[in-house]
Amino acid sequence: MEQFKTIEDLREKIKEYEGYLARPTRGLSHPTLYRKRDVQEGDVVIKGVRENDWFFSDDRKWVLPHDQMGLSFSSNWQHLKGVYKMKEKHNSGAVINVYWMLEKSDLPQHMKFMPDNKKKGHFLLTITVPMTLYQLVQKLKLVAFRMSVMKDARKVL
Amino acid sequence: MIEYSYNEEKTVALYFADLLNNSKAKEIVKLGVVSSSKEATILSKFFWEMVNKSADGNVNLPCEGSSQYWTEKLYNSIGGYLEDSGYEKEWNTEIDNA
Repeated sequence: MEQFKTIEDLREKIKEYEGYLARPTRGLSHPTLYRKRDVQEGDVVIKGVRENDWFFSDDRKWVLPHDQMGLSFSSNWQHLKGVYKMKEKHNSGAVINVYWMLEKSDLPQHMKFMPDNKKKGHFLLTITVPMTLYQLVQKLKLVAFRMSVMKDARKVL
Repeated sequence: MIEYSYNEEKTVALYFADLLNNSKAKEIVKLGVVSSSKEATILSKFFWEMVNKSADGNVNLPCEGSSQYWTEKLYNSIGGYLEDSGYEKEWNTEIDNA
């Protein structure tokens, strides 16, 4: 996992490529999986997956493909700035890091980034075939492994 | 019209409008339409009032899911609507002010 200490480092790196996708994440939390402390009361987290983010079968044994359901990512600075501030407000006093990857990065098989139909600057990491929760978690771990991190991004956003 | 991904988003926004005693925002959310820059700013500011209230905790929503989760959804629904309606500047200004 590559680390960038300043926004200049990050921008210089990104300039070499077409685009990036980013997620603000509380310090010491996982970039693609949730801990209980990462969500409020009322949200259900199963094996690190926030249930409402994904399209589950009625028996909860399968996660089903949906092109507008999955893990949320920002694809422009302004969208990222707002998501970062929401995360900061919901985690008062905590350091918030920004994890990012290039839009054209290789994803695990049967995963795909889809643009939000209604909001520019917002993408969803989706799945394209039904899979078990275990399979989804393994794929999300692989995605996290391919992400870079900018530590404590408050001053640059 | 504001297009929500989930019906609960409108329910949550109206709940917050009552909780925050924001009658102007409630009217806009009820109508689902913004027709001036002033209204766009009212709605944008209201969004961040919802986030601040959500972050304070102790919000008992009339639907499943946390207020944090639903404000994340509203961020994209309200922001997307304002951008498509020509009020991107008003929306972005309140992101900068938040």
